[in-house]
Amino acid sequence: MEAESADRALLERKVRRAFQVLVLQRGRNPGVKGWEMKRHLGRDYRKIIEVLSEDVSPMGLEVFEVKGLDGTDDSSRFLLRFKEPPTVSEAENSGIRIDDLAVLAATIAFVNSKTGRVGRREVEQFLREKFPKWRIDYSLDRYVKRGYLEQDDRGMVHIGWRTHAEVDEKTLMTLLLSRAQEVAKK
Amino acid sequence: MSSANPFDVDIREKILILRQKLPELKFLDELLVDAEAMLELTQIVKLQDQWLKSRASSLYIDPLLIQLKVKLLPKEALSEAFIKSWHPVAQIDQLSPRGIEKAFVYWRDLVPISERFKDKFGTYGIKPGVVDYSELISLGVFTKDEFETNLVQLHNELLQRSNGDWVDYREFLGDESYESKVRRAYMLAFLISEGRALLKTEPLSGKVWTMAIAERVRGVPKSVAISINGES
Repeated sequence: MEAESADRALLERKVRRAFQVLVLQRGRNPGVKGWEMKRHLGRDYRKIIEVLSEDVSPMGLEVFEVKGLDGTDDSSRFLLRFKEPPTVSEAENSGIRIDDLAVLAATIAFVNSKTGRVGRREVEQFLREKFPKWRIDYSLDRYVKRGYLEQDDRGMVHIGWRTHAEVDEKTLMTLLLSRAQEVAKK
Repeated sequence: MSSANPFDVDIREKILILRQKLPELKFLDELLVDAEAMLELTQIVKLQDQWLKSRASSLYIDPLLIQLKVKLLPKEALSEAFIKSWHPVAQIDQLSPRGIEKAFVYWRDLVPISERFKDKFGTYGIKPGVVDYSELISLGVFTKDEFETNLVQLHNELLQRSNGDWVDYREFLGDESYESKVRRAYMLAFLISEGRALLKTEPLSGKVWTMAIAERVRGVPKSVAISINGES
């Protein structure tokens, strides 16, 4: 009985620790790598993350895993994120510019349609039909910096790890296509 | 580099060409170029693999269709679609007591900037600057009347010493004291700037000559830097 309560206390402590580790920003990029989680919580960190994810669910949050390039546990990045997308008014109230989000949405859709990689110039040309040049340059640079997009040394734009972490890309593509159909019908 | 279709490249045809050419290659340079071509072809095969995977996924939509759809949508609809598929990261930027302590220790142990690069670049002194006449008066080095009188005296002294010939500049400054040399050099510079004395330098020997002139001359002024130290 005593051993059981000690185990529970230990688990609670570890879950609390996992929450603190995830919620406090350490480096420039949000999230905590698998190897860091292991260091903070021990080898069974995945179980603790599962418990935490259930615990934060009533608050509208979840722990999300973004697989690293090599696919190993250590390279995975864990993030605490909104379980459901915010409403449009919530997003607007948080100070995000609609124009900026529109640039990102269009870029993600375009890059995905071009098999995940496309030249920066091509992206700019595509966006120029809808947005002023200064807005395109500013937004693309900003989103590259923040990890939503990636640009390699050959000037090719890819989808960044942060988009994989925060954006349900299938939903985005479906919404874009369906909304466009509605607009066309009107 | 563009996002062109990697299947536009006929890999089979290119490999057959390489195969035909291989027996003719004799030199190392040729073989290296051949290997490089082979490597490039494997890269294209890799791209073809990615292309197929992407097309097979539900994320693939014809680019032309997407361009058309995005063109149709207003900015508000684009951003709304993004928001509806967005799960923002929940994270807080904060200062923890540990962070503050680290920052304090860093700041406490930070060597002043003047000392930091001393080993690499030497000490930093005050940059050379310009002290003007009014500043010297305000510092009490001169009074206005005294300066004018001293300037006339120095000009007369130089007129007598030079008498139409060049005089050694450093000899003229004298060796009474460092302060006296600086004072005379400053006033002499004033005379030269006003066109009441001339200056000549010999870059090879480092010699500097000066000469007073009775009538003021006008010309294009040139700057000459002359160092004055305690010994000279």
